[in-house]
Amino acid sequence: MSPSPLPVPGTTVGRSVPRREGVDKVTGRARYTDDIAVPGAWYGRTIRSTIARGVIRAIALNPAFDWSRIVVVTSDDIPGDNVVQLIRDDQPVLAPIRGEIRHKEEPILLLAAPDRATLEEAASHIRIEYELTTPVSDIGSATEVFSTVDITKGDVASAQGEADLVVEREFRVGLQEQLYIEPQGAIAFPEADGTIRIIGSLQCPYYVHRALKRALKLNDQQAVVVQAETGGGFGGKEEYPSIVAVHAALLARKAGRPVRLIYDRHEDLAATTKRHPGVIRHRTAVKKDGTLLSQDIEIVLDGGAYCTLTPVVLSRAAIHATGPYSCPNVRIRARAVATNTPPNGAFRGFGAPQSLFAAELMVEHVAERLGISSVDLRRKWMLRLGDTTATGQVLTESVGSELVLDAALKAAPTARRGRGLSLVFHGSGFTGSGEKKLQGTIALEALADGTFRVLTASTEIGQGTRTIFCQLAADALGVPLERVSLAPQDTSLVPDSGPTVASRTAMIVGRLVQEAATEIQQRLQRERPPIRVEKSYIQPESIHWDETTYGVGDDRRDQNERRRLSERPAGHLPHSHRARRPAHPHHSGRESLLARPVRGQRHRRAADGWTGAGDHRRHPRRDRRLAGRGSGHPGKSVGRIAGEEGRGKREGYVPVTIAFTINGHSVAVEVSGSRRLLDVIREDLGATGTKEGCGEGECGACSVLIDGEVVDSCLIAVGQVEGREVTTVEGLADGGRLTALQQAFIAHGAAQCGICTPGLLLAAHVLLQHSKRLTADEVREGLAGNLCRCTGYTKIIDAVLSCTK
Amino acid sequence: MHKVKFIRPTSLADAVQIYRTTPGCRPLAGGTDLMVMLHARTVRPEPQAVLDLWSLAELKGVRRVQDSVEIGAAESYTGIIASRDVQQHLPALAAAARTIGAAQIQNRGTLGGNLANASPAGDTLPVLLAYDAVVVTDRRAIPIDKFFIGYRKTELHPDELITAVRLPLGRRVAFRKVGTRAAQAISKVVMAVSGHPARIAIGSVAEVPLRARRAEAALERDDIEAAIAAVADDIRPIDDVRSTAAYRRAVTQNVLRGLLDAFARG
Ligand SMILES: Cc1cc2nc3c(=O)[nH]c(=O)nc-3n(C[C@H](O)[C@H](O)[C@H](O)COP(=O)(O)OP(=O)(O)OC[C@H]3O[C@@H](n4cnc5c(N)ncnc54)[C@H](O)[C@@H]3O)c2cc1C
Ligand code: FES
Ligand code: FES
Repeated sequence: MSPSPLPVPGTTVGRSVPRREGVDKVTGRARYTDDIAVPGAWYGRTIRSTIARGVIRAIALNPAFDWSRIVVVTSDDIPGDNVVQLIRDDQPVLAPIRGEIRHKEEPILLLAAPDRATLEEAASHIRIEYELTTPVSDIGSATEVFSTVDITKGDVASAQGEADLVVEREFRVGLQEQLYIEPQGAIAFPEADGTIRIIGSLQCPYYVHRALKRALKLNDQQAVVVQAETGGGFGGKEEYPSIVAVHAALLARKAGRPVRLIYDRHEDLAATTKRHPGVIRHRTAVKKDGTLLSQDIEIVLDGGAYCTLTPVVLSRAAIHATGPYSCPNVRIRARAVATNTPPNGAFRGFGAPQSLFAAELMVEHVAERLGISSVDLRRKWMLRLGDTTATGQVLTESVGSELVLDAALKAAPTARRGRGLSLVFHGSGFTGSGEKKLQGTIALEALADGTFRVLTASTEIGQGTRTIFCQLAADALGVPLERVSLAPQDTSLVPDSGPTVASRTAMIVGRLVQEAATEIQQRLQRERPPIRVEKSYIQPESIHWDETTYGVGDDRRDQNERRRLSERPAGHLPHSHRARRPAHPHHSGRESLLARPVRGQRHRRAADGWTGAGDHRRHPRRDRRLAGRGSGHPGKSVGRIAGEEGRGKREGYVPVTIAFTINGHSVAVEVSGSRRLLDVIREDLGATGTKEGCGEGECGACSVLIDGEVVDSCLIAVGQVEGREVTTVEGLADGGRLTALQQAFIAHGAAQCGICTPGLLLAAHVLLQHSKRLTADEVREGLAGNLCRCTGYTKIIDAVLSCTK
Repeated sequence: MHKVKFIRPTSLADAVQIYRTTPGCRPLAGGTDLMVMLHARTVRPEPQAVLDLWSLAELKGVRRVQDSVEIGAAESYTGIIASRDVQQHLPALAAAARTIGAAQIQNRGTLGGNLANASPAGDTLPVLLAYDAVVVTDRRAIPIDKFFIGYRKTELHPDELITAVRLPLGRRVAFRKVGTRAAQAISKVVMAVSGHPARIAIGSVAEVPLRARRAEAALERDDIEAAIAAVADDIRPIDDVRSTAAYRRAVTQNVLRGLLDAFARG
């Protein structure tokens, strides 16, 4: 590995330090969007198309229904442009009345109401009539092209003529859902001076900022975007939150009050962006001895109905299409087409997983035809120092392919079960000349009290941003980590450091933080604080990228290569796929900044790639405040809570009193006994540590204990807990003292975005209560009802095991 | 959904009475099927009230009754797995219960719910068929092979409550479930087999959990190859999001071979 390029000998970088917000995440105190109580806020909802293609003929609101308490927003209520600001201006914020519908689930109307029941009822009184057109449903029948990329190196045609063998194969990749455990959501606050403030679950505050300005006709100051604690993104919260935020803002503007627009899992799965499906064809020419002569690759990605980030995704797919192999003659023809399906968008890897999947399978096919080992073939083909990539980049430093291949083979399981191996590379940093265009900016402040503050718009979504920036600054400044803080991701406070995507945060933005810190450290020799330094990205001289030829310069700053081995059970009986631990040696080109988060990222990445071939699209809510001991809502923590009294009378049922114990406190709530325990805990008792990830027993984020047994609170009617003892995450720590398990979660980095953490802690707590001697497999089984999308589970299992004897 | 009235009966007799007299009332046991549907508002007709069975002591527990084991309709899978009688006499039922959901679901899911929900993929159902279980209700005892009458349709009257399930002692049953992953997966194929008497019961391969009668007849003659051949015709699998008919047919035959091999080995 190359030496660390840090300007000052680091003391914290590369060391595992506990993440900044760890305690909040293991105690349930971290506030995600839906956890934020906003008195007087209304509930919003999106009315979507039920057809894939056609024209809206009429929208009818049933006159028999009392609409006076409902706010209805149509495209006519958009003060600015009816456009979701991104690359192309093709996607409307709301389908225009009598306008075209281009996909199912396309937003048409927005509704807001003072409570959810009224909202649901209003929605049932809307009729939309369409004129249907035959939709384009897949790549095969698509004609409209969003973008193309062509890359040529050498002469493929003559290379094929000289070949002993030309192998041709086609690969298909399906949709894939990001499946962050916290669904999309935003709360919009209209202010008297016309300012609209958004608090939401998002990756890129300034994307949302730009979208708000454009659709609501606001200036830089009037649009304010604040990131709430965010329960995972994986690309899914890169561009889509702009839509959620603009919708919430339109409702709040018309309602003249805050509006919360929180998706449930069904809406999120059905409507939001997915990984692009694709068809990838390879024609590979080789000599008998395996020498690679040419790669001829055709990629077609399905962008869905609107462009979103598709051209950039396509670009990444094309750049990675050869796999990490050196080939003298390459032709890559890539195009992205439009279909009448919900738009696809950003997802970790951004096009590369699709083309790498094909490239790696292709190696296997060629090896099989040649009758040689695919490991040997990879070794023969792989990029080495001095090689030139398809885009013309000469690799002059840090090519780790040999290293990782050897490490993987060493770690390879010897068991009888089927084995697999793949070698991949991945570029870090914005695609093409993106960084140059973005010119990300950060600020660093030395404050009068001797502390320092890092200001960036780069968000913490579980990957460790908050901690990494502080570490980088502390090291460069030569001060203890505790003296550095991070400003909130609020566009009215922080400069635009660019989106939190493309593994660019630590590398590009982190570097700017280092530079600013170095400058401040020097200035502090002569000046007194306060000092503020801003730094913007300047592209190094050595990097050139030509958008027209797709040639380099030096696009990929870093040749990250990873390879993974995964065992697949074989044999004549199909096995239930229990994920065996894959070995995935990883060469990140330099020392990891933050030992712990990087490990989690890596496990997760492997799994992201791994599950890629599936198609997860499926067809298929909540705020008042008793948290446990030490909650911020005194007075409500014990006693009778008239949760739904008012609502009950209005909606025509008689609430009953249900008495139970929660975290040691006796409570009596007056609600309908059929309400979900989850809702009563979160809304009536204000204990928002318990999360809703799916609402149907699949994710375990809502796990609580009833009489010491773990259950999903979304599946429990509150009447069923009468006389019982409920424990939530807020009840785990005793008088503010964290349990050993909570401490272990922090120490092992088992809480990343943290949205799954409360549920996992409760499930793990019970496991440890039952037995202090547990094997890793027992822990896995015991936690199987809790999904985590960030960690890849390894760190969670290690944390639990560390609490066993 | 919170417009639905919640009724908490004081005893089984009270529950039976309320269920008979309250229109639009739906029993609620662990809620692992019903709460999902209530929240998504997919229950038709929409219920007016739910009747809580979870708290009824009469519907809990596992007990020996003469030469059978009786399991309360509202006993949880966790309770079933922990029962010594089940471990000793009905290991295949414990095995099936262990494959249902994960801890959170096993702590709440019940046999009564699995039976009344009557999903073709219900994992305990082939086991109950292989044991020739008897479904005990508030008014009668229904032999399990008369219980499933159509897609998600059962022999139960609209006002009839399941109170227990009775299984015989002394029968060897083997169980196997094939899903996408080990935990929290809906079966692609689920099977339970008994050698004597010959019972081959399969789920997820037709609109109801079924017994493969032709394959059973072949097995009765100890003709294993014929049984494996026949089972493909006994089932009526479909293509759906989880699998294809062809895959299910092939897997059914493989699983049957595997279970019969295991029997042969003892
Ligand atoms: C995440 C998840 C995973 C799951 N995994 C599996 C699995 O692997 N295998 C599997 O088979 N199932 C699975 N299920 C489904 C479910 O857990 C089972 O069907 C369970 O047995 C249902 O029992 P319950 O007590 O929760 O039923 P409930 O939801 O309470 O009731 C289900 C239905 O039965 C009726 N009912 C309940 N009790 C009675 C009674 N005594 N008399 C008459 N009617 C009654 C109810 O009215 C309702 O219609 C899963 C569910 C979830 C949410
Ligand atoms: S919210 Fe996912 S299991 Fe309850
Ligand atoms: S889902 Fe983010 S930490 Fe588990």
